Amino acid sequence: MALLLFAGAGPAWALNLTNNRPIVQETLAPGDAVQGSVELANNGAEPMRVKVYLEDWRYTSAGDGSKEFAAPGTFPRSAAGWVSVFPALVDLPAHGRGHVDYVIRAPKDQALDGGYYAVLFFESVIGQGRAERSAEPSAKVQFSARLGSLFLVEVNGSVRRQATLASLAVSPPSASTPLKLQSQLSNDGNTVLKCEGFFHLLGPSDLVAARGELPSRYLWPGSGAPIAAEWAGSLNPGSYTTVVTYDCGGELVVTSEADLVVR
Amino acid sequence: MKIWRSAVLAGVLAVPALAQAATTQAVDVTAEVTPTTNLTCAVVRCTADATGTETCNTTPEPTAVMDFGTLGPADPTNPSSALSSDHFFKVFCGVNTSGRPYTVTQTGTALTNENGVAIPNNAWVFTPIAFVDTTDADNIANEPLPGDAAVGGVASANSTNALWIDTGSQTNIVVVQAAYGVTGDPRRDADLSSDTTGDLIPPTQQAGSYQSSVTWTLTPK
Repeated sequence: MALLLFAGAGPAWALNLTNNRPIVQETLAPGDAVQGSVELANNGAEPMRVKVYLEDWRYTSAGDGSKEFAAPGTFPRSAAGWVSVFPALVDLPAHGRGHVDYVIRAPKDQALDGGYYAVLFFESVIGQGRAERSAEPSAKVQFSARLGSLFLVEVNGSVRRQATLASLAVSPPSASTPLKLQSQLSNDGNTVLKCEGFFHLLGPSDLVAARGELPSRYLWPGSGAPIAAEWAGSLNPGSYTTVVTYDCGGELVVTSEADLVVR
Repeated sequence: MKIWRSAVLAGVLAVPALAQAATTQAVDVTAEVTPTTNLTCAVVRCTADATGTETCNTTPEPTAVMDFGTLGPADPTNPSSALSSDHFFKVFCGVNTSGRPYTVTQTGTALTNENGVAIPNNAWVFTPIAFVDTTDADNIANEPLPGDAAVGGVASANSTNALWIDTGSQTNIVVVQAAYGVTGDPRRDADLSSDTTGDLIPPTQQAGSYQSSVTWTLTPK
């Protein structure tokens, strides 16, 4: 590991922060509450002050797991207002531990349905204050790092896990081009979906002539993302069936088929 | 000492003759690994010569500050050339997400002086580096990105949630790198094109102590 190059090289600053709850997943009925804690560890040789705060998050439309963050209450399905956190500042001694307690309280609003989300950030606090005036332009940049714990809260009895694979199109391979597969995966339910995909090409007698993985998709409720893949193998002339499968967890598996003719 | 040796031996010899039993019994053994996320970051100072060959310190910076120093002419032979720092910084972050894919993003502010005057955004540069270290045992610290992992493009460090790395479906990337520079060098500026007005730090840039902050965010996918 590159950081080992620095071991024993003298005094140096390094942030080394651990969080033991990267995902906090709860199911609550309206009006119910649950409490828990997140343990933090400072594995560095210097004490560290950590700022604790909530924000909204959601997957971007790319569907690749990248996220957007925003102030609490910005995004639909925000659970940031459901979560109370204490303390807001944690002082971690060198090679020491601390913890943050939280309470998640679902509103009594019976109109709630599906999943609601928030992120709890743990951010190293950097020094404040401006440097001395300079007669020439000079530049200094302070840096910090933060870990996020994703809160995924589902309202008991209201979750709908639904997905659709549509518009499957497959073009056969040639001597100069790979097989190309395209589709669209949509989250038609009311909770986030994390889906793993693969495809099979079935030839005569439904024997598998080829198989491959498809890009994982992370979908916000009501959103969709394109699927695109290539396969660089060769196929004998004939008729095939392309079967695309996405496993979105929780027994939700969606499939789509398309015929393929190789000449 | 003989006393403690006797006590230890006594304890050993006092063990019931379980070894005499001829029966076996299966015992369920369970263990739980608590999922965690860990981020360990260090920053080192680097320089590059005219050919682009880089030299970096082996000791990380002693504080949580990247000090680019006084900005001088990018071309030392031309006092009227655009301004630049004579060094840049590389960030190395070790990441452990207990086997989950993850993303790391960068959020930063403009480099502004005490009067609110800013360094041109494209001269304040964040460069994700497409070399990582993985959990394999090949002792290679600079490996190409595996599988469907990807890094973000060169961007102004004055940005929100700029992608540093998306590990895709990979779960074996344990060290990621990026570089920060204050420069109008077209090889390093944020649009990688020939210098335009927006990229240059003019020699007339207002004096002052320009400051900014950047934050790196790690979340599991």
